[in-house]
Amino acid sequence: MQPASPEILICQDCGCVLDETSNGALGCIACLMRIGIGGEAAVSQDSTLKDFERDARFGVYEIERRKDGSLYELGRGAMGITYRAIDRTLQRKVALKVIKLGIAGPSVEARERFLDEARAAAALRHENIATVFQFGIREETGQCFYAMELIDGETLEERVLRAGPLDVHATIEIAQQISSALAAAEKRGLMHRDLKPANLMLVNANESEVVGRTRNSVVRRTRCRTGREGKAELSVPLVKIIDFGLAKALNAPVDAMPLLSDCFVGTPAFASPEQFENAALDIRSDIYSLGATLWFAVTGKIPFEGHSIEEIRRAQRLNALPTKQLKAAHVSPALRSLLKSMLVVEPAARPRPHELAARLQYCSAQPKGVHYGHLTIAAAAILVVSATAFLFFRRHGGDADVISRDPLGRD
Amino acid sequence: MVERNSTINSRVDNPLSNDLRIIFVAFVKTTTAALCREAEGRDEMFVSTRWTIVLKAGESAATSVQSLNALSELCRIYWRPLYVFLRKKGYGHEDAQDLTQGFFAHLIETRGYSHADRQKGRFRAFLLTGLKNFIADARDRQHALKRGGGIVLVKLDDHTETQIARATKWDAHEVYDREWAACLVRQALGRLAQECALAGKAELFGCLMPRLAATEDSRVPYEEMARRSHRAVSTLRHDLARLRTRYRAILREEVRGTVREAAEVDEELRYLCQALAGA
Repeated sequence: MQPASPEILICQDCGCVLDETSNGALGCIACLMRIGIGGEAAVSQDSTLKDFERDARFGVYEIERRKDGSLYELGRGAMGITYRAIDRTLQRKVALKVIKLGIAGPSVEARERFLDEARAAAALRHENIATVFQFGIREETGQCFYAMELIDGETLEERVLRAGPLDVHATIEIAQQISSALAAAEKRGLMHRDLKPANLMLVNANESEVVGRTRNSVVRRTRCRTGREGKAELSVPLVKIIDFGLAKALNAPVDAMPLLSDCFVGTPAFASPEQFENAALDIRSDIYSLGATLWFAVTGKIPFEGHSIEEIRRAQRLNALPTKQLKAAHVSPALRSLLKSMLVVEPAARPRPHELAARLQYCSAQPKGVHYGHLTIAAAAILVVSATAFLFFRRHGGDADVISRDPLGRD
Repeated sequence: MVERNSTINSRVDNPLSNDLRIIFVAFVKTTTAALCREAEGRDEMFVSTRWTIVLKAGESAATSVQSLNALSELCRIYWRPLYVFLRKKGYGHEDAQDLTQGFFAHLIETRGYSHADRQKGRFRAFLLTGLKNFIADARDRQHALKRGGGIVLVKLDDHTETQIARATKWDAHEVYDREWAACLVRQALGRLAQECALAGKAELFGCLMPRLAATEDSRVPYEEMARRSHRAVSTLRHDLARLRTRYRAILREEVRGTVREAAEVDEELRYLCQALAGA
């Protein structure tokens, strides 16, 4: 919960205004109510959980345990829980995402659709997309799961929340990597549908070598260090998109998402306007989400805020972008213009991945480490100094003549 | 449990009348004696759901103490949505309170629950329809106001009126649904708190309860909680997962108590979620 004003509390998960549910003290009633949804199969989760904890195997994957015997949980989201696991056949460590019961749907058809979409997503190979090794369904419980490469690092969201916004150069580098991945996805007719800072992993430098980056590429990236306020961290690590295609896989069945109305999939703050409309989506929806994500990366804020999905939706359509945030973050005019074009309401007006790549290339070619505000001040200062010097020498040049004449005169 | 205590306190503080207290005490004595005799059947009662018992009581000629108890328990829990509904309908604070209590008394006296629609079987809809009929009948209302409720006296906290005044977006029906949902959640959390207290984990419950609905793990400050509770982060994660699972089961039981068929639980939950999201 976060205070939106002295009077209003909002739920960060669903956007409901808490005080008007007349039970602000309890938390978000909608979220607490939604926990109960999920069919009778999920009610037996108590026993399922016990079985799950006793024998944490999903096909060839076995979830690792911590020292205290608990399962090695890496993260938890709306769709499921991610664990660190090991492929017993290949002896390879993986990240195993176990989809919550009820999300992929209880019917055989729903599971088939899940697997179809999942197969398409798994076929996508790109250095900036976390590789998916296998999708499956655990027969004992009907739980869907998938194994993907284990990435050692943190999400973009965690990085920004921990260390503050990224500098412009790092943001452009990240954007270039993501746009490259989106271009590859577009060729296959795929899209992410839930692109957001929490779905972008920043790979640790050492790890990037392990996963097969070329030596030159790693060296090039590791050389780029931020000079901002002594934060001596890698500012431009390798980026990998996680959960690519999963949103589609889980949204395809009508009964797939036990969320609120209209099976909305995505994170409202980063969702495109057409996602709210339940309209047909293409890669330009991801471009919008990427624009909002880059905005967050460079400013630490989201472009359109709201207390509810409806307010965010209205803000997207009616409010002007708060470009002052970009200026305050010393974003160049070229990048500002690009971000604005990515965040327009009309999908057709947004750049496609190949155009995005070209414009990012232009942005990255701009002088680094010098802020445009500073450039302007420097230019003005040079102009003033030059003008002063000119006037000074002009006036004093005349005096010098007089002075020089005096000795001569005395002589 | 918390609400039960506040109910008792309110009886002490409430100046309504000694008659109400006498009626209440008589009712409690009767039902308690009967329940002692039927102690073995009590668990079964909760399994078969209180609403089902009320419906069955409506069909039988004699009033079952068991069903009366079930009904009065449901009234105690769901008193507030009806009160808030009346306030949104424009009734003053005291009128709304008296009408709500009068309605429950009337319901039990006249065995109004015998008119419950077995086909629809939603306690939420049944109560609201009953209340509307009750307030439409001025003669019954006067009768009820004289007799008072006597069964349920719920003390509303000071914040309630402020919240009602602030809920300008919704009409009376919407506020009623929202309050109904809140009652179910409050009831489930109350039971969960009680279970944790019995297990000697009241403090842990207090620490984890605010995070029960968190869907993003990153939003749960495990590190900070671990420092405060002296538990490992991984242990806290599992504690929270278990607590959530148990809460879910309890909430579904609560909802199950207000519908006729188990298959209706999800439908009712979805309906209430949509009511809450209808802002």
